[in-house]
Amino acid sequence: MMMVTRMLRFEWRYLTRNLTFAGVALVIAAFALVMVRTGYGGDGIDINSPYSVMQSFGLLTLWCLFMQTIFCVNGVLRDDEHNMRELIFSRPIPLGSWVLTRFAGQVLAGLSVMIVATLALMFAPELIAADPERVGPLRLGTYLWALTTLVLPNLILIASLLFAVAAFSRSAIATYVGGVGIFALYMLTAVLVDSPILASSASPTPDALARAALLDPFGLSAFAEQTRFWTPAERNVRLVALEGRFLANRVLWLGIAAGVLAATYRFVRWTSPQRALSRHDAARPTAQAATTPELVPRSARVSVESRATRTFLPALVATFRFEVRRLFGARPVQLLLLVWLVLAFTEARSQLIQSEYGTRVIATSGLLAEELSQQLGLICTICLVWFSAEVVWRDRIARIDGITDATPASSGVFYLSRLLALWAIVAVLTTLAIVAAVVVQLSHTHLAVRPLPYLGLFWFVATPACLFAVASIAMHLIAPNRWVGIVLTLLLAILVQFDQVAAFEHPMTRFTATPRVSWSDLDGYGPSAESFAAFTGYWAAWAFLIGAVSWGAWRRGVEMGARRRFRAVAGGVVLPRRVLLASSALVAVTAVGLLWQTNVAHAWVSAADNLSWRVDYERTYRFLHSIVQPSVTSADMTVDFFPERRGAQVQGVLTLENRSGIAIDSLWIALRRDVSMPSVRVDGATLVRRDTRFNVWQFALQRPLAPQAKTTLRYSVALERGGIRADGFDRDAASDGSYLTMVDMMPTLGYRPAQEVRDLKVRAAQNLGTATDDLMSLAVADSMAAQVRRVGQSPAWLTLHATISTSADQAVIGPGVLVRRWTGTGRRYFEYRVDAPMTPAFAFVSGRYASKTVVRNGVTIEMWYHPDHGKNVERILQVSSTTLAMLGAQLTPYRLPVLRVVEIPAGWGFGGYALPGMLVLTENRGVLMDERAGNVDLLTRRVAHEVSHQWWGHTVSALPVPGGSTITETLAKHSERLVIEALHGASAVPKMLAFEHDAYLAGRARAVSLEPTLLESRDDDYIYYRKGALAMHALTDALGASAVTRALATLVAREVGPNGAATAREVRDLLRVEARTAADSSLVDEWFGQRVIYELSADSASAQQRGDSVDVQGVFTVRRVTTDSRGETVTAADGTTVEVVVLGSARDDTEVLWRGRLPVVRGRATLAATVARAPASVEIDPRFLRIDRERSNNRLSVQLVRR
Amino acid sequence: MLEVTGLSLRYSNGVQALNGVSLSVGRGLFGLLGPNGAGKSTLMRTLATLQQPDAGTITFGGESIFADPTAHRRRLGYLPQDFGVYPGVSALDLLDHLAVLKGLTDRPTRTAQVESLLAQVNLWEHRKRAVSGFSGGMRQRFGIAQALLGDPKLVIVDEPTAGLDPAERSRFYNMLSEIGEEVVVILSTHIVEDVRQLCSQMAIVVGGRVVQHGAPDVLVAALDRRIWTMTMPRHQARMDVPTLDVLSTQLHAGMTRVRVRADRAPSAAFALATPELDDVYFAALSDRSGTAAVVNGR
Repeated sequence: MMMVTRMLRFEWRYLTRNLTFAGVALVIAAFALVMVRTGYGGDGIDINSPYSVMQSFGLLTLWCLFMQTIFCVNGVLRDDEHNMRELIFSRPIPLGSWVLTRFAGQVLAGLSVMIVATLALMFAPELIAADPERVGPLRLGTYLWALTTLVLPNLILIASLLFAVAAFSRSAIATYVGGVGIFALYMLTAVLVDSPILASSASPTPDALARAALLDPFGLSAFAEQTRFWTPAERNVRLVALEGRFLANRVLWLGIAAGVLAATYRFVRWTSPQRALSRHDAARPTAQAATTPELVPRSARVSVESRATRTFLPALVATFRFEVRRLFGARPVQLLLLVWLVLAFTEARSQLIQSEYGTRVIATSGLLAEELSQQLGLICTICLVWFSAEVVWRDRIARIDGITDATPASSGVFYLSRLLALWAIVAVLTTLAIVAAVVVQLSHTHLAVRPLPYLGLFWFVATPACLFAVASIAMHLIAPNRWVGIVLTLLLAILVQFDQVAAFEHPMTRFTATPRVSWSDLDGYGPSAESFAAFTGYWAAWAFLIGAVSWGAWRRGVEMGARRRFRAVAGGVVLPRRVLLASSALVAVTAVGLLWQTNVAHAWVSAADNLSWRVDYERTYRFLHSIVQPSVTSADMTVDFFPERRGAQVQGVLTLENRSGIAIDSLWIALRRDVSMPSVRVDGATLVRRDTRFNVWQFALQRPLAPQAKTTLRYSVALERGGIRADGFDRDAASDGSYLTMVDMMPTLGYRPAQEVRDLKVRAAQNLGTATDDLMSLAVADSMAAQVRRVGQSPAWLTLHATISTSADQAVIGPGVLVRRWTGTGRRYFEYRVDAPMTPAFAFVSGRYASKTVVRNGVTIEMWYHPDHGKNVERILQVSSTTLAMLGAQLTPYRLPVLRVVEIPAGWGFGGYALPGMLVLTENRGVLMDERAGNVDLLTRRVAHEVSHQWWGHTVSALPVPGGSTITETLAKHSERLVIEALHGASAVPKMLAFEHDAYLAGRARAVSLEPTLLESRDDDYIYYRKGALAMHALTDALGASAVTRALATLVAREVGPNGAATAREVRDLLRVEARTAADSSLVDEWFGQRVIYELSADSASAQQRGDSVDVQGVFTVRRVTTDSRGETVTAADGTTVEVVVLGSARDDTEVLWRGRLPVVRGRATLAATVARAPASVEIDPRFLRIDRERSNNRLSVQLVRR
Repeated sequence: MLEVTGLSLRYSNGVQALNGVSLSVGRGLFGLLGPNGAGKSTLMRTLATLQQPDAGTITFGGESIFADPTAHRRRLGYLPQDFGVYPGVSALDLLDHLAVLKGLTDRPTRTAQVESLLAQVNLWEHRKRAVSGFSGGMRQRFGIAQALLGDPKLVIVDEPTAGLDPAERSRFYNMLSEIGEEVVVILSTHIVEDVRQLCSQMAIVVGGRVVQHGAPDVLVAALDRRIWTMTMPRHQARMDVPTLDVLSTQLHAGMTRVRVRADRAPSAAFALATPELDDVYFAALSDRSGTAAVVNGR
């Protein structure tokens, strides 16, 4: 025992008393600090709350993979690397003790690093001067709990797996690959079980969550599963409980770790010498056939080529081939490539199958390449971190450096052959990703494989990785040993992500940082492709310089410290000075060029400058909010698209009408800040001031504009979206699929509240008071409604005449009637006209489209789409016409003769958007939804939702007071459900509502302040979308579909047109009118005016055979949870009824044997029913008529007892 | 051919490995003799341009080797004292790889030489086996083969016979002798026997300095009539000997045989002995360190 302790102490000291350990600890501690600095944990959650601490440790666990790999190679393989094995195993140490101490030493070293990280996390609030509001009391127990339940088991698991790999393979490269492999398998598991830790927009089902919670090796999913609906208050105080799936997960994986260790101890041949892991593995019997060569006579001996230039290239080629054979011949590397192929395949496939709401996406080449690009970048970086260590240090570790260094080969041969080998790794990883994606594409769709998006991976992902490879080698040339080199490389890899740190905000300061590029079938690589090229050129210049220095500083011989080698480079000893000068000059020239482009030609705006711009705008112009300005009542626009240069030219003549009761003497006109060459004139007014910083013009009218009087505003503006820039990429003027909205191109009058800072903390820090939009309260609703009914909505509805031109191969789609189109001077022209006033929202789209038109019930429905994306066109047209017909019959006929559905490029922040008479669907989240399969027909939902906005939003406009979004979005959700029900039947609805239900609970858990009701919601999407959808469904069930339709038809009849002033209160009142009982009436109030969820559970169930029938009994808990400003109150939900079903099959939810509503008495509902045959289970609230805090306990299986 | 002048080198840990070493080496085998830690390997590595001296110059054929290390390495064959190989690479592949690095870029020529060398060092049969799996002797032969790639003009072999059995060692000597007819071969060793068998010139290095330099015969001749020997019981040796300039003591069948350097017989019991190269070496050590006899327990 004594000896084991001593050995362990030696082991621990060996691993921790060195620069490597210090470096690793520093990196992890720094990372911990950065996490706290970036406000990890979410709004309203203390940065040192149990939840944040656990989450921080969860993320740090992934770093442990790197750290443990270093410790493991150092711990297990050092005997082989330093020829110590025989010495060690000739000692009288029991093998078990040796294995145990080596293993425990690594875990201890890892734990030591994590303790340093813990200290960093604990004292981070002091170190980084954190927001005092987000710092809770320091509780040691929180950290100890996270260390013991999360970190230590993870360390043991990681260490045991790596230990096994290292012990079995005796190879550093195999151990590196083991580290990468564990990460890849972790990702693979996450993808396969649809883990909640992946940022997928789909809410996983409870089954998937349970599976993920158990199978996630690091317990993060189990933690997420347990805490997902915790409120901020709970997250601030509750420790994760070591019970349920979290406990099962920890036990399972510790068990696996123990098994792996036992197998390692048992099966590894500890004392035998090192084996090689490649094709030359075994000593093969020598071929007898080959004859011994003749000894070359001395006089005829060869001579070494004396001209370096002649030997360089052949030597480089031969050495590169040797390197590649070494690298790719190693079994671990082959295994890694295989794992990557499987991971890429799974990733590509699952992303397409489990897109938003668990639906499928049609696998185009562009989408697949896009899905894989992030993972590819990650795997390339991780591989480069390890393989750069391998290739740079290999000669030294193999101790062949004495021989190779003394050869006349140029350092360039060594340097370049290794660099090229790393590039080969990147190229192979990229190729495999493409292979995986092509296989997925061919097996899932019949769409043609488009090579460009796939080949783009080489440029947009592999090229930055190759530049990173250059820097990673340089890191190893600076470092005194490979571990420090790895740590430095890792730091460099992390630095790219540091855009939140002010000093590194401009991408030119972070090595290999480039603007993000994403593919669209319409718009190709989009507006940032050119800037990407420029940045890549800039980084390539750096890489060239770094490469030249690395070449010169390549280690040759002994006792050559980094300083001495780099001094030799500067002295021009190895490489001519002019090479360094030339590459430095190249860096300088590209840097100056790029600086000019990104700071002068297209001024980059830092986050701080952006903030001060918004704050200053509000401070300067907020007074305008209360100043009366005229309304734009008609627009005459001339728009010219220039797709080839991503530009547009806009001229407008706007009619301004004074709809107020008082005369107006000055006009304040504002344009977006990112437009070029703006010019504004107003008839009968003189320019008083032009504010170029905020693009605001102040005019004084020569004669005040009397009530009802009109004047004319003439303006022109240009949009330039091409060119090289660091930010401000916009697809409004694109190469194909330009989507230019009113917001982009038209001036507004008065104040622009949208330019205010919305973040409450920032507002408080800047002393800004309440935001303009938040000033609107329900209290002013009545007076505001009266005003709207008198003078119309603000901004006003308007009429439009527009002439739009574009390049000869594109078409322009606009609102209203296409009056005519013609071609002239190599361009195409389109004239659109809207004569009846429409809501002030319109857009022009220009692209190379295919189109299809149908006429249904007198309405022309047009679909404009990318020629390759025709698959869903029929479906979209059908859903559009169904929705138009249904809502037209229920509410009021569709107002326009035409509805245009237009596809726009991927990259916009929505799936679909509705404008009067027109709806746009994005490529990836709209048009390419695969409606064949999946739980939810998202395509139909999206189209129905957007079409219904023709009523909810563009026929009936909400009064801009709280609850307004309930009119536009909750009612659109309602219509969407009606269409789904009509097309797929009622059984499709629960699947759709399951997502809304979970999304509501998740949104509620994230909410910082008291959750608003449907009457008060502002920009809380979990209320107006999620709760709204559930509310309208529950109320339709309670009141009856026809009653709800009647209420909504009344709403439309009352509030139609520009003088309508609909509010959520009005919807509630109309529904209340339809209520037949007091219970229904209070249900309406509960959904609209209160914050109520339920705690439902099936507690017991039994069934007895009685003759031909079966008696089923069951008991269910029904508690109501009401939240108000004082917190939650849980009461028995007496006086209500709940729906209960008896199901006949465990697999098919539609096999209902009995369905009924049970009264709730003392918080319980009791079932006593007779059914025809043996039941499988009973379930409470199967149709999502209530919001239930935890749905996984709603179903109970039933065992039949025969009498 | 090779001129070393005033070479000094101090390691970053403070050890003065070389302290004003000057040597002149001509064609043929040159033996560098010295105890462990004398600075032999440092000198060899410096000659191979693997480290830079703090002071002093080295010229080969009249050119400074540090002025153009690459040119020097082209003429150089170097076998380090302790070298490893990539695990799992066959002798043929590895030698071919090293030949490329050596500048043998013409494939047929390279293949011919690689195969010839493998045959020459008797590894032809094993050419497809991984060098990492070779025995010590085979690995050392491989080391020789790689040092001879590209017909070097200067061959530096650092402790090459360590770990070789007598037969291997003998064959190795023959090979070196053959090479030494045309080029400069520097052989470092702490085994006097090696030098006596092979070298026409030698130097003895102790504590980073050259303490003897010349032809072995000449150095031995300088001790003529100055070496005395006597066999005595062990206890007597402990008492009597310390006052004398003892070069070596040898235990033999329970008695101690002492060799002493003196201009005349220290006592009547001593007999005049024929000087050997061992005596030169021990005398050099003795002069340098002031320490007395080395006990060889044979």
